[in-house]
Amino acid sequence: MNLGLIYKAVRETWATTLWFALGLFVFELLLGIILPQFQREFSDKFLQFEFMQKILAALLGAEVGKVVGPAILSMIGWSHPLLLALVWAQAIVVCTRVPAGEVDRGTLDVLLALPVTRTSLYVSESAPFVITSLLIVSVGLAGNVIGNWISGLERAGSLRQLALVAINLYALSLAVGGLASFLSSVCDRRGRAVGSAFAVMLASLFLSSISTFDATVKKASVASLLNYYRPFRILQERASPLEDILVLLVVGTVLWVCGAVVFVRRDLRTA
Amino acid sequence: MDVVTVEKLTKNYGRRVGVEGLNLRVAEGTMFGFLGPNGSGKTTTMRVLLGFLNPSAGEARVFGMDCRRESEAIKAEVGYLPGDLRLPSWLTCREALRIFGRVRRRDLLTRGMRLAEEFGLDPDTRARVMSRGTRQKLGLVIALAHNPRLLILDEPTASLDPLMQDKLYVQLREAVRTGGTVLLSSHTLNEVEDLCGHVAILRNGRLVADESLEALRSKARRRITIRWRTDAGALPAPVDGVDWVKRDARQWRGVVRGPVTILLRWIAEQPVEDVSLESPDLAEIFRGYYV
Repeated sequence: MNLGLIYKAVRETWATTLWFALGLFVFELLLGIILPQFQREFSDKFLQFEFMQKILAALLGAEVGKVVGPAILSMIGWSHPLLLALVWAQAIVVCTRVPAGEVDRGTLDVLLALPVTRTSLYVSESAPFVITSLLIVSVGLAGNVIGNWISGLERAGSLRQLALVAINLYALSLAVGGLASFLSSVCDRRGRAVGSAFAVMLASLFLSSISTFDATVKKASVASLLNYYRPFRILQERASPLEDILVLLVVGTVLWVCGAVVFVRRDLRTA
Repeated sequence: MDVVTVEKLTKNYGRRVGVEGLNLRVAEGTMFGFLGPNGSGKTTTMRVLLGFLNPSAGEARVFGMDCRRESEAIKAEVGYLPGDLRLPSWLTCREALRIFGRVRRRDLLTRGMRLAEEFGLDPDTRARVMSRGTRQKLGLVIALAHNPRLLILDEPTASLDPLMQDKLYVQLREAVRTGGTVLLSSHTLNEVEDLCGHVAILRNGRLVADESLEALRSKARRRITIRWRTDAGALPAPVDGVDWVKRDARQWRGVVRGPVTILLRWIAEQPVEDVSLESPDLAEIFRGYYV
């Protein structure tokens, strides 16, 4: 790792990270305040339709029945597509900077001319993401907790369980970051890397959602990264997410390492 | 000692040939010109030397080290200016020297700020608002700041004004004077003629010439005009070496091929009023290789 390159990476990503963190905080805060207030209407009207029960089950990754308490509603904050989109977007934007982003901008030559190995360059440019991802997940957790506290209603799970959900989300973010890093090494254009990463994650979301409706698709859902992020199990069933976290970390690490191998060996031509 | 050694270097981009069977040596302490039309393989060769590209065949070494496997050690002593320089939009000269100094683990600010002042570069202007010429100046500061043993410059004077070009030439000559080596590619033939002691010319990925400037000059044609004091119509033309374009009673004009000494000895014995001999036209030679 090279401190100069880490400084450069931080310099380039801190503003983006702050905006994502702010967006996540506000989103979680508002959901934490607003959702529990509609609990009765949700149970009395919305969930009387079987189809709506299925949709909620697809969102939360588990069957919830016809009556949900404020706790269940607050879990939506941890499974909402916008939350996932913000977390994934931050991972993808940060992790496709090198080398695809630098190739696109034509600035890779200046970096490659420095006396560092490509491995050191790859690691140094990736390192800040580990911290920034933790930052935005922590900020999201803070928004959720503060929102619940402001609403004065029952919180879904203890602080320890919420922390486990946040760690699970962090592991998911790292997996997405590993995927984005790999695609960035393989693609010559940042747009292609970003598009491919989003396509994979949207496919994961789709697979994960549809698996609630179809038993056959459920078998295939092991291929979806979202299959290993299940806040409902942690908060309602008090299950340990350790296995899910490990799978996500392994997937993220393997993809990141594959990205490093490709980056070290390939020809690099500026656009 | 040869700073750069390239043996049978070939680099293909799929079916397209970048460079083929290139043999090249750049001696230490020289200014080496790298010429050729667009797409001839100059930039490809430079990028192989810097470890950006893997050779398809052959070998490339800098300071005796393999360009790919020992790239990190090589680049500690190399300053590089890309042909189409782009920089992060937020980067200033001062920040670049700080960051790259941290990467190189040495102080670049002292010499870098001196160079920036020499080149008239504001150290705190961001790259996003710089003109192309100003960005080029920043690129040169970055390439020169760590006092490299080898400078690899891809069209370094592109976008630079004449005054700035002169300043750059001073820096390059100083680098060579203190034992450094410069490998520069250029389309400006006068610049190559003024700066370089040796030239290699590529065409379609192959080396077509690899000679000293002196050798090239000796091959160059020179125009000669002789004005006679008397009627020179009856005079026999001197032997070989001149293609006479015009011969009348009072003036002869021609093109000299090869050495001029024999011709000058002959002229000294004739009733000559005036002789005008132009400098060797290297541009014509270079253009000949380009076609």
